[in-house]
Amino acid sequence: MIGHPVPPVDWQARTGGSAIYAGDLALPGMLIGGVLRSPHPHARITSIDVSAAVALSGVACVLTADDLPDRRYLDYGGPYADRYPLARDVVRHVGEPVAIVAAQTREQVDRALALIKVGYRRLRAAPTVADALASGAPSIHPGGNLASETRQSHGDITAGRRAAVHVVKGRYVSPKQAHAIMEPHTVVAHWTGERLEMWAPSQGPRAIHADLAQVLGLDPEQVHLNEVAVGGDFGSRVDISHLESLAAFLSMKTGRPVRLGHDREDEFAFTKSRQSWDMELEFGADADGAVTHLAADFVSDNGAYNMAGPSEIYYGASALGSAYRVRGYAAHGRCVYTNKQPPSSFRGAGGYPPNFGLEIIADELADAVGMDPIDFRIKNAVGAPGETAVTGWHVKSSRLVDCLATVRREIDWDAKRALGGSGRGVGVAATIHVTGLRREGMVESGAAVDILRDGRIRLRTGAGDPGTGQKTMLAQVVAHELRVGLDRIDLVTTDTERTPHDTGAGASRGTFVSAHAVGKAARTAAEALRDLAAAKFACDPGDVTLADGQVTGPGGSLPIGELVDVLEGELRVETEYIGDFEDDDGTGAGDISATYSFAAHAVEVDVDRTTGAVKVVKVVAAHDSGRILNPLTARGQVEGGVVIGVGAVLGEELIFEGGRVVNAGYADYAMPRAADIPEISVHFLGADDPEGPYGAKGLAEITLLPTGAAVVNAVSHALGTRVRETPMTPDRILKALGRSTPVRPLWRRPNRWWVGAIRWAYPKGLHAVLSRLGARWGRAPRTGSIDAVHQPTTVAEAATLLAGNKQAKVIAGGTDLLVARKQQLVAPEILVDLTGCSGLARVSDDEDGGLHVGAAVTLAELEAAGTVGAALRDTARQIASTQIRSMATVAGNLLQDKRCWFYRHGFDCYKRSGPASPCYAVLGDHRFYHSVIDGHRCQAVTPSDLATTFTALDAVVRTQIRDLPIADLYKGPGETVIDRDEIVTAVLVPAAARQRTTVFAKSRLWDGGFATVSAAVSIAADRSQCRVVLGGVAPVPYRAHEVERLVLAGAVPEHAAGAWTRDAHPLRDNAWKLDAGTGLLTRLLEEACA
Amino acid sequence: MKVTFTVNGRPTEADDVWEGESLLYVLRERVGLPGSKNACEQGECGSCTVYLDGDPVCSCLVAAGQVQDREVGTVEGLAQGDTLDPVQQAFVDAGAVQCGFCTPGLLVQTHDLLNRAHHPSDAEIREALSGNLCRCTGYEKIMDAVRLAAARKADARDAAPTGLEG
Repeated sequence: MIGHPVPPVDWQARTGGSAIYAGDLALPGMLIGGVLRSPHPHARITSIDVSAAVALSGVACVLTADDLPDRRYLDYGGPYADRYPLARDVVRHVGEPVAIVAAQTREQVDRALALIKVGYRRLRAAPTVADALASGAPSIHPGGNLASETRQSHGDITAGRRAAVHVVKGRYVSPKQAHAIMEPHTVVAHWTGERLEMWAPSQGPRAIHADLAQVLGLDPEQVHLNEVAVGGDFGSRVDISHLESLAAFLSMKTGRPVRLGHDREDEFAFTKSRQSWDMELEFGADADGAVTHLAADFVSDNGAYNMAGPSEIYYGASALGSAYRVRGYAAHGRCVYTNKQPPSSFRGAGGYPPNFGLEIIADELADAVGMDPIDFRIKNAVGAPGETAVTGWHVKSSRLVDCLATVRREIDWDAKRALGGSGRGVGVAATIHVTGLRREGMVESGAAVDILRDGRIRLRTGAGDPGTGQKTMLAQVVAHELRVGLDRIDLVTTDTERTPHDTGAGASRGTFVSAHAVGKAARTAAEALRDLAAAKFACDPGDVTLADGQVTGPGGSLPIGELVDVLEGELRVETEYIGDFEDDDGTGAGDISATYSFAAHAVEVDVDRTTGAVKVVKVVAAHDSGRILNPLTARGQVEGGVVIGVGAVLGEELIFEGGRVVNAGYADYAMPRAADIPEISVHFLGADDPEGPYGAKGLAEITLLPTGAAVVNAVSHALGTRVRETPMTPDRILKALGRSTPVRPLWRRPNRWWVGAIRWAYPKGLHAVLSRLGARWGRAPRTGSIDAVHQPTTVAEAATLLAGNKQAKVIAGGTDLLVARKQQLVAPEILVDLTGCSGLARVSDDEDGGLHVGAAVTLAELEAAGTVGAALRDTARQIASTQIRSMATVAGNLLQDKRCWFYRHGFDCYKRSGPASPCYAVLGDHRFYHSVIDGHRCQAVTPSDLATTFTALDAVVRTQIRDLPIADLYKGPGETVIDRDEIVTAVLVPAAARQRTTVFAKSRLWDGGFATVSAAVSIAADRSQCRVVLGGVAPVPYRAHEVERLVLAGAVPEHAAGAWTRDAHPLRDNAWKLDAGTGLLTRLLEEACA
Repeated sequence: MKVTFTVNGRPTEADDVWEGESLLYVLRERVGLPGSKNACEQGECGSCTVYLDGDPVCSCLVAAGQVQDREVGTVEGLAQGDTLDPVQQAFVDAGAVQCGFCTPGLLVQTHDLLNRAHHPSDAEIREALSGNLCRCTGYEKIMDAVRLAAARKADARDAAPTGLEG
């Protein structure tokens, strides 16, 4: 049973749709909860008036900090506790909970939240670490902005420095990665008068239980955590969030069950992320390439409150010094308060950021020494059995060298290493990682095994299973010890009444501690069965065998159910495992873990030097995690970890503006999708570890520690130049390559003086003035309810409906309407559904040879239509996903609103709130979705890819009243001249354009993502006609007339392609689009002219 | 308003529906079918994928008022009684499930893919599943599951007497 691939016990329910997650619970009388959050990064609360909200029909209760006990969360420890369930007097980050509401429906909750009046006096904010450390910075807490500090010194760094011949120094930044778990945080609380019934999914239920009881001021016995499916954790739910207690307070006040959860936007903006680290490292080696010393000085962004911050930097500093055989190591780390949502644990226990920096500088040091990076690690990495790192980490078992040899072989390292600088490259990274921490309370768990009268076996464990296979692995242990099949075992997990205490998964202790605990309980149960049988058979317990649910002795056989029936119906065994631990002396020194896991990852990448796109082609992951208890789930852990690791360096980063998350949605947070991921080859090399249960060591966390650095090293190898900034989005790759199209200064272009003046004035106070004006005078967000959906059958009928009501809006594919409504960009009262109108879904050839594409033709239909030509098919295929393409229509795609992430995510910008408001893109992050040419007050672009291609095809947009050349369709970013009651019925492509060769290409951050730059080229075979169009670079599709002129004059593609950039005036950080656009055009011109 | 439509072959009526709410909300909160998951409500993650008149769509983007008289198929309708659909069984056998939250949407999407393409290439599978986000598996086991389901379905077709295909 142990060591065999076993499908998890609960997968049947998870594939059938019957597994119950917190959001699926439907309790009688359940109320919906909502949180009023601070809109400011730092402000004093001067007043709160809830009277209007309380009076609203359907509202059961409204609570503020005054209604709650004066208690804080413990989080990671008493001295650091600084977080209240609801803000008291001061808010310190955008999104900090200020008041809570429970009502019958979501709509009532939203209305009530809007009626709560909070007076704020804005305080100067420090949203970044640099702001918080600046002299004269505002104090976020009374004690200042230093949340915690660690100084660690191990070995003799002076001697190390003296021995060094090669020394490399560098700055390495590991940004904030979001957990982005698929199930947004959701909890249900039900106060029954004496007891709190709670459904709070987590991999560490007992930690939540303890902190919840504490913060509520209840006896732990009064709080009952129920078992519920967990939709992913990765550290995100391992400790208490802000939802559990708030739901509980609402339920305690109302006596009714309350569900409180996040939508996706909240999930990105208002839950913890991985902590960012900004590290200065110094790493040295002697003349033989033996490492000498490592010095680190780092700051970490703690956000506004202590969650895991202090413990992560303390642990991380220790981990950083434990990976290489240096003579001396010194680290100074500071965890700094900022006015941001606090981060916390993320798969890796604080080990990811330091390992990321270390494994990149290790490559740089290997370069300096002139050694191969794998040889360098074999020579220098801590990983010999019996060896002790300078920090005191003592290796019990290790096959690190085999891991490195395996990745070298499997990635074909030696051959591919010779290709450096070609755009194709390989890189490696390795790591050591803990298997739990040997600290009091962290290596102890109970477990219970019950033998029931029907012969079934019930395992009770306090562990939670967020999808890692923990439950199945523990069932395997019971099956192994009691010699029964898994089908005889029932599991009870999490439940705080029915299961013994378990420390939960964290710092890679899940398998180690819980399997030790369950193994002990199961062995004790087996002994008890043998004792019972021995008494029954009057023999020695040693003569009893246990197999297949039977005990067999000299006197015969008996089913175990019958054997225990003589007791009180069942045999119940509960035991506790307490591992070896020692006190933490605060120096970071010591053998911190019972044993250590090892891994090496090698990565092959392909980098497009013209567009800056990085493709990870292959990952080889070799792991020593001791014996693998369940190879099926273990492989899944490695593959999942690798992909999170790839995402971390290729696109995933929470982007902030003024302390507020900008990219709070899957469309804007670039996470890997099925089409983005590489071939992953997994190798388990571990032998039995002497300390681990059944020889096992921890696995889930170490799977993502080396990947990111290996990708960075591979990209550096591919480019022949060092890249350090991550995520390595195309802008950063092109920047590292040092390619930059020259930009003519605005002062030399009188027709752009207005743009120049605005850009000059924005950082000098214009932005600040406008944001204050906008806050006061800006248009309120659009809200309201939809009262009717009409389904007309003709265009004329639809037009009449639209003309008759100013608040009516067209819906067809509908892929953006409900979304834009939720984003408060539109508030239609009436929807006019065009999908039933006849004649709109036709694709056909006109008599004159032109193409007719009906407005309601879906993108899937366009993609499949033979007659429309390759360019339109290619364009359609690259838009969004299968699901979206089967709904979205051609006209809907052309008429879609802009995707600027400030506009979409609630920033009160010029387009959202009116002319008194600023454009946030001028000073904010505008690298991907903003214009480089023609942008004035608003920097957004028209997001439609079809618009680019249709423009190159000289398309005509037909409505019920007129034919409009597509060049005249757009008047601004995602804004058209189509009247409110005008209905697009078709898009026509003239015969002449269909004769041309037309091609389309786009750059995007993830498969199906919106274009950062797109391009279409359409050329007649005799070169008599040429159209060159770029998308994503200007407010409207940009016709590159100068390029067209050069092509018609016979210029070769590489000379013609760059001509469009003459008039460009990019923002601070998006000039890369000039290079990428020119790169795309060069390729397309070559293709079309071939 | 009242919406009448067919869910998993059964005529279904949802009362007190507000016109602008999504099909996902109707399924989860009014019809008692929470299998389709609400993970983003923006059509970006695919966790709420259902069949609408035979096409896979994000049910979070469909307005309730648009489903009148139409046919909806959800993850709960894939299995025949206690017997999992071959696609579901392949997800279990291949280890394509971890936390399970994205799984219902992936199952419907895969089910649709294998109805349309009997022998999809890896590139086709990846492309077809790119609207479904998964944070746990790294997609590799999901790829294995789709290949496995395709192979089993092909075997079943080969074994079936001619003319009974489908």
